Amino acid sequence: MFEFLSNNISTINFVLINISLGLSIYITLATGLLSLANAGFMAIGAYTVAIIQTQTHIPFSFGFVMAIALGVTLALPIGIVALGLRDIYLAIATLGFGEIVRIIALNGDKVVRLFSTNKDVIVFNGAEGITLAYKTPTIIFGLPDTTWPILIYCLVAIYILATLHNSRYGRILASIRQDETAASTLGINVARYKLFAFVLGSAIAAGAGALGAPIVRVVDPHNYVFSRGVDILAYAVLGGMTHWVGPILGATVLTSLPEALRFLKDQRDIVNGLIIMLSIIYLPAGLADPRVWTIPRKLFALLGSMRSSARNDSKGL
Amino acid sequence: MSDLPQQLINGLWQGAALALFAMGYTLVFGVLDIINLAQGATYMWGAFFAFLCVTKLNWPIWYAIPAAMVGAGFLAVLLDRLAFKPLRSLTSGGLVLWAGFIVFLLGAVGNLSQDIKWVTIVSGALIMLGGFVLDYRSGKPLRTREVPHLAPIISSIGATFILVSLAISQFGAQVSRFPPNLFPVKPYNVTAEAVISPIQVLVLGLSLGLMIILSFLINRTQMGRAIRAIAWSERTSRLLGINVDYVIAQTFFISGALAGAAGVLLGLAFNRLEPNMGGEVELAGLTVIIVGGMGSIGGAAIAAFLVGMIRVLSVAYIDSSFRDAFVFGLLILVLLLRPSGIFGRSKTVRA
Amino acid sequence: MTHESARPLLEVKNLTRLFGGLKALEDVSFSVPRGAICGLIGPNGAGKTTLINLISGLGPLSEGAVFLDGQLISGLPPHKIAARGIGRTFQNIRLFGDLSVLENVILGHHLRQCGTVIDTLLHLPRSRSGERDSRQAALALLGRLDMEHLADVRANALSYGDQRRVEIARALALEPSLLLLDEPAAGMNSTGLVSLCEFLLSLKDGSLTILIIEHDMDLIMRMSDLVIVLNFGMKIAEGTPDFVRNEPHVIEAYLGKEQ
Repeated sequence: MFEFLSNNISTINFVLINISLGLSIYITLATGLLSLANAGFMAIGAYTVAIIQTQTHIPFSFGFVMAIALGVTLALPIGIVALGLRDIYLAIATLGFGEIVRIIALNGDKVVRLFSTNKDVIVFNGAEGITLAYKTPTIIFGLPDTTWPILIYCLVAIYILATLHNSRYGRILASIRQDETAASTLGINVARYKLFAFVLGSAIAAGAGALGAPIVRVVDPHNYVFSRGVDILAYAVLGGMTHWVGPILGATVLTSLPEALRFLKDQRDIVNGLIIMLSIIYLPAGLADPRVWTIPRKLFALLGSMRSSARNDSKGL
Repeated sequence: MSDLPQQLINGLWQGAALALFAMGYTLVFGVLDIINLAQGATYMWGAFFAFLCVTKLNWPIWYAIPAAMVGAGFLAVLLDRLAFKPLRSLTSGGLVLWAGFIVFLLGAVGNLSQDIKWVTIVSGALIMLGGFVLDYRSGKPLRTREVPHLAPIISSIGATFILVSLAISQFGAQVSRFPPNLFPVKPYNVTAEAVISPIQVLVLGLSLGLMIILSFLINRTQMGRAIRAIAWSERTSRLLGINVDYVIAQTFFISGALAGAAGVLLGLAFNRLEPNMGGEVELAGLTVIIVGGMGSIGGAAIAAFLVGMIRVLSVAYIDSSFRDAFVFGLLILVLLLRPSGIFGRSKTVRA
Repeated sequence: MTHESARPLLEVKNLTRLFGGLKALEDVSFSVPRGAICGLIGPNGAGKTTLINLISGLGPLSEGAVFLDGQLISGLPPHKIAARGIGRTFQNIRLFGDLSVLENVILGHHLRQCGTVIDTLLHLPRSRSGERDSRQAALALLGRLDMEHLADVRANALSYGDQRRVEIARALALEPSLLLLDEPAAGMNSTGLVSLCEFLLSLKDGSLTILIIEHDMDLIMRMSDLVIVLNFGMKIAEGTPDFVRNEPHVIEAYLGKEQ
């Protein structure tokens, strides 16, 4: 057990982070919203932590809190602007937001230098990004001290989303996803609950980005481009967008699969694209759909009946 | 600011090409009410189709441009069949098409030896053709299905990824360039300080020409009437005996051809082709269709010039690296103040 | 207090709705007294559904005003109008198909549930008791419609008539003072119709006011205290069922002018 853990600790780290990210996009999808800014919010979290760590001596935990606070602060105005409009506008606004985050990460130093007395100051470090100092992890209860926060964060995210799912809030978000007009005539303040889902998702993404920074160690814009956002989308689409188990399944499968199927490594984007398209077309409720799990049984039943009928046919001859 | 006339000229021709891209975008939105995020990938492939014609087949550029438009048009039709049509209704032809597409992809990017590679690609293409024919021949009434309303946009994101990665595997992620001397380079003088090169004249002229042709197609022909009827109500059109699937395919063809034209023209003008070039134009195109009013073709054409100018002027006078930030700023501003678009009728944009 | 009860519950004043150049509703005014059942009839395209949509806040009105219990409600967003005490059903049933019947009805009770997200996340008693109360209220409502046994069925899986009844239960879960029903009997068989009629009459206990659109004249004439007739967006008649039945305009609107 311990051997398995220590050999695969980096995969486990990434699975846990990706589950948190999958949950962050799931909560918006479950409300019928498509937010394409999760990679952007992740970048905000990671850069917040990285800048605080390289520029000051403030402890990591404070950076983590700041990351989430910044995510919420930025998600609120975007949500307020875009969520009163048709669903498509949020997708477009968040797409643009993700681009802006990338542009700022690349060129942030130019802005910093405008306001700073030191004209050579390096904060964002452009395309090279910020490299965090390496610390040899200490093992606590069998897991490195870098893994523990991620594990706890992931469990807390699961707890929050599962509790909401099973409460009146889950019901309300589902009703907005299915028919927001009907929901509004029941007295549900649709815009407010959408904002709630969007901000919660963005905060979870920012926190995951912050916790992921010490794992990837190099925080550069390339880590948080749109294709990273599509990875995250793939977790939720494959796993299922309407139940919190979906993104957990999706993230686990898609994160550990490339390890198993190394020959697909260069074609990762094609595989992601295919998974997204095929699951949205032929498996719209995702792997979490209970009906999916009956398919093998049905197939066996079908095969069995075919075989028995074939046997009967041969007997008849 | 003495180079302002020059910048305005640059804004004009870049805006014209952007208008082509955005008109195709908004056409599909107007008819099917979906945002086809793979439009940027179609644009990129249009540019590469022309590149292949010029470098591999040694065609003159005058043949390569229409060939690229046709290629991009068919790519858009294929995209509709793979990404959007199965969301409208599931058919066995669609399943065959998908199977063929996967075989094709396996041949194109799989780690196969050269002979098997081509056999796989060709058989994949044949299976896809079979899927098309099967769908065309089946006279069964279509059963429409219920999918999450975000499904089309998610599906188009998946398609974008496949198309871009396919281009990277064929042409590499680096910049490809057209061979030199396709065009005379000596620029014409417009005023004392401002010049315009022949290729820029071509971009401007061809874009304006295509815009006029599109408006003729939509407003004056039988096909245009059918397209507008479907935009108004798909169900009523079906009842009126319009072959809805065929008209949708036509719409995608036009939309793809326009994107392809924009791709070739901008690819030629900057002489810079890369698999990620669609992403740059995507955000500008989305801004254009929102500023112009979703679904409004005329609005998109006007808004494209506005966005083109903003892009050029922000690069010239502020900082090139913040160009897209200004475009996004315009987007947010319009969303805040007038979500139906500056030139759009007030369609239902409120949730 | 007598003044209070004399005031009509719903007042519609000079309501006009333009779609482009088309007048879907033109200068419609009427009022419904508290506790009454008011039938809204008229040929197809007369503007009945548009009227109900405007009262419940779906879509902007071009001119005029709507008052509930003397307070202006037109211009408010739909969720605020619902909170003021208006529940409604839809002509093309709009249940949340993926949710169970019980969940649909509990959603209608949403406004009566207190507690915040924090209460829910910490499993505090306030959220649990609120959930329990809503559940009991919803089950009680389903019981009154003889649908308790269907509580855990997905709404999509129900028959057409059952879906209509669940939608009524969902609207009633709001505990509204005004209930707007848009063709509640459409697609029901005759036994369903009779039981629906009985059920609606049983709701008439003085506190609930009902505005009902229906094509089934029998049902309207038997239940309504007041009937309003619309044609081409205009009110052409108003009065007791007997009065309206014999009104020449109405006969003309339904049967066409005699040559």
